[in-house]
Formats: sequence, C-alpha cells, structure tokens
Amino acid sequence: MINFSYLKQTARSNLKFLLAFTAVLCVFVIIMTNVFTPAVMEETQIGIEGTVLANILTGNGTLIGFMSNSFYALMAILFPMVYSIMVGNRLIAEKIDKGYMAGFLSTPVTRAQIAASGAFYLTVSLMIMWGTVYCVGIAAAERFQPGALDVDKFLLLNAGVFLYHFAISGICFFASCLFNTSRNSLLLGAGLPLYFFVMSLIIKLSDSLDYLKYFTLNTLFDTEKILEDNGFEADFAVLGALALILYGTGIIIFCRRDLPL
Amino acid sequence: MKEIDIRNLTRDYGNGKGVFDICLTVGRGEAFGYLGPNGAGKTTTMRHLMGFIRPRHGSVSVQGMDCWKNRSRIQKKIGYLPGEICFPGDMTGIGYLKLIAAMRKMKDFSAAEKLIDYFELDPKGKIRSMSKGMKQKTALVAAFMHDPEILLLDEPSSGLDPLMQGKLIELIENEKKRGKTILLSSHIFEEVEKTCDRIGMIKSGRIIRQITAGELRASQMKTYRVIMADDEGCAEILRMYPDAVRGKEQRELIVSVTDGCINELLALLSAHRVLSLTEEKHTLEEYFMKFYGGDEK
Repeated sequence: MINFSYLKQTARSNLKFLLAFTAVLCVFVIIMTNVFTPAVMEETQIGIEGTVLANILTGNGTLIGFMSNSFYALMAILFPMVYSIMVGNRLIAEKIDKGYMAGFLSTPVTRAQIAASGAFYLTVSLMIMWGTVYCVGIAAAERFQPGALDVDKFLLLNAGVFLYHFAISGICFFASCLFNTSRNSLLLGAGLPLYFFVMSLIIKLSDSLDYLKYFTLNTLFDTEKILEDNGFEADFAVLGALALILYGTGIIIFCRRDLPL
Repeated sequence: MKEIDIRNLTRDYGNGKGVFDICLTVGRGEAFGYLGPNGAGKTTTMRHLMGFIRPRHGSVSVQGMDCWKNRSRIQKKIGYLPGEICFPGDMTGIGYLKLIAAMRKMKDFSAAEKLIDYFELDPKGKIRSMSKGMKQKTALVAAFMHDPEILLLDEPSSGLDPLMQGKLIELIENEKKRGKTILLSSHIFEEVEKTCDRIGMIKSGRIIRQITAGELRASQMKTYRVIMADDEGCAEILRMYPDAVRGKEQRELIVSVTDGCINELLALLSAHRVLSLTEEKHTLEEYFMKFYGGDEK
C-alpha cells in the first residue's frame, strides 16, 4: 500500500516541521520538570485559588498532576495541532492546488498508494514526536527531580495525547483528501480542531455547560481520568477508531473523485 | 485495437465549458494533432486519458484499457506532458526526475541523462528558481525518459525558445519514426502541421473537423504582403489577382495563394521591382473561420 520512494520524499519535505515542533515540545517538557518543584506548586495553588484558572490549572500537587493540568491541557493540545494542520494540507490538497500531483500520478504508483504513504507519514511522525517528548520528559525529570515523576502515568498521558493528535490529524488529512484547494482544506482541517479546542475551554468555565462535552473531541483526552486511572480506555479506543475511520475514508474519497490536474 | 480510443466523451462543466461528444481514435505509430484555441477542451480530453477525471458519458481507453479503471496500469505506457507545468518547489530538477524514475521503478537513468543533454538542461538548481523554459524542459525529460509507447503532449513547446522548439519537433519526429503513438495538443498551427499525420480541430468542446495534414496543407491559402516599387507593378498584380487587397501603405498589396500556385506569383513579382515581401501569419481563429465558414458562434 505504501510507495517507499514517495514516502521518503514526503518525509524529507516535512522533516523541518517535525523537528521544529518536536524540539519546542521538548523544551517545554524540560522547563516543566525544572520549574514545578513542590514549593512552586504550592505557591501557585494558593495564588489562583478561587479564580477561573483554578479549574484549569490546579492539580493534585504532584509533578505529573501539574504537568497534566498545564502542559497537557494547553500547550500539548494546541501547538502540535498546527503541525497536523500544516502537514495534513501539504500531503494532498496543496499538491492538487499547486498542480504537481499530476507528476506523481503520471507514474504507475496508484492514488491509494500516494494517499496511504501520506497517511503513514503523518501518523508515524506524530508517534515519533510524542515518543521523543516521552523520552526527553523522563530524562529531564530524572535529572532535575529524581523519582518525582510517575513514569507509568507519564506514558499513559503521552499515549493519550498521541491518540488525540492521531484523531486531529485524521480530520486534517480527511479535509486534505476532500478538497481541491488549500483554502478549503484548511477551512475544515484547521477550523474543526480549533472549534473543538474553544469548546473544551468553554466547558471548563462552568459545570452547567457539561453537556457540551459531546460537541468536542478534546474531552476524550481527559487527563484527570488518566491520572485517577478511571475509565480512560474507552476514550482512547474511540480516538483511535475515529482516526482510523477518518484516514481510511480520506484515502477512499481521494481515489474516487475527479482531480482538476 | 486502437492505441487511443475516445468514444462519445462528454463532460459538461456548465456555461458551455467542457467537452461534448468527442470521438477520436489514434492508431499505433500515428501522430494526431489536437488543434484548438485556449479553453476549447484539449486539456480536459487529456485529463480523461490520464484517468484524472471520470467520463460522465462515453468511454476513454488506452490500448483497450479503460483510462479511469486502469489509470495506474496505463501510466506504464504513457508519457504525459501537462499543459500547466508545476513541480514541488523545494526539490531540485535532478531530485525530481530521480524521484519520478524511482516511482516508475526505472532501473536505468541513462535515457534521462541523454534527454537532459539534448535539451541542454541544467537540472541541479532548485525548481523554484528555474525559468519557465527550464521547467518545461524538466517536464519534457520526465515525459520521455521511460521510453513510453504513447505520448500525450499538451502544448509541448510553450515556454521554449525557437531553437529548443526545433529540437523538440525533431525529437517528436524521431519518436514517431520509432513507432510511438502521439497525441499532441496545441493552439499553434505550425507545431501541429510539422509533426502530425492527422489533425482534429476542436472548438468549444466539440471536434469540428478531422483532416489529414496533407489535405490541410493543400487547401491552405497563404497570405503575402508585398510592397511594390512602382504603380505599374501594382496594377499588374491587381490584374492577375483580382482578389488582392490594397494595404495601408502606399503600393502595398495583400495577396492570398495556395502553395500550388506560388510559382506564378513569384514569377510575376520577379518581373517587377519589389520593396518588401512578408508572409502574413494566420491566426487559429482565421483557420477555423475558413474551415467552418462564418456560421460558428
């Protein structure tokens, strides 16, 4: 299903984005382990008590608790989303929009192979991204606060955030397969994930808005559930299944439709 | 079995755009010229042949294989030069050609190198910084390098200087001699006339006429603009060619003759003093008017 020559070119042309986004995430994780010493955490908790921020930022007072409520609630959601949006669009829609998909399709490599190679790259690059963050996080915690990080929970957090981005990238990839122009592909591929994010922020403002959780994907990556080991498996499964469906449908649509090349 | 077989192909894009009931066959070793103004439907036909779009009505096949269903299989046989040349800007010319060669599972890159030399292409630079002509040459190498049996060339000479246009025509002629089947689209009359055996004229999505190159040449009037040195010569020409029209300049005449009658004109001109003699190039529209009369709208 995958054409190796094409995959290699795809990886090469997107490598700089993968490196840049992974590097920034690693820097953040290192800062987290460095800054969130027990003394700082206590001060912060007192400082924001009673404000809206308390709902967003407070944790259970452990390093992993603080990371899950700061880094994994905001930075790890929003920032890699930009990567999926950019790369997702580049994989298919941009190549049709600019016209050079014609060159690739004038070889015996099938449309399914082209699309599957792109999907494979996006998925594996996200795995590499979060695998790296996981390793760097453990190394940094060991260096700055030996023994403070719950390594098993940290693995689950990273697995969960990967699955979340797997699903988000599925939306971006699907949009890329569906449209002929970067403009339309980005409208859906960036619009929907951003809408999900805004929705997840609104939910946190008040308990009465809890029903909104059915209108966003972000509630499926629930750091609290992961930390408390409280039924996150089903959410993970839904994210993974959703991603597979989006990628699969995207490939099928790309194979069946007319291309204005 | 025809190499290229298009039957009743219709694809309506609305507003009169698209192709309507196109029937066209090209046999093995034949070169078919697809002549028409911009936006007539030449590229739409090519896209169907490449399997980029599905025919809404009718059928399109290459060597008996349906172009939509077998679109990746037919690519082994086809060399395609798109009408609009676009490449991934961040690649070098040679990087792109090597990638396409790898995607075609070509083991031997020497044919590509020969073509690069032939077109005097420097493929080492980034494609983004290449001139239009350089991009066109890169696309030509990509279309010819796997020695395909069928060549689909969409306005192949655009962007090339006259010297390279000549080399391209020479290459196409050689490929034809080697038994390749060629479909060449163009809005330039000479390009088609020089290389093709048969010519189909397309306008507003419909093939309005199919003729052989010989027929076309024989029936074709060429128009010459002459400026005579004296009134006597003028009068003589007007007497021999009553259809001749006076031009804007003094003693300027516009005369139309077929190639078969060119000697009489030359003999007449050489008997008088001529200040200038130029051929008037017909536009494609004028050819269409001639072939199709004035009733097309």
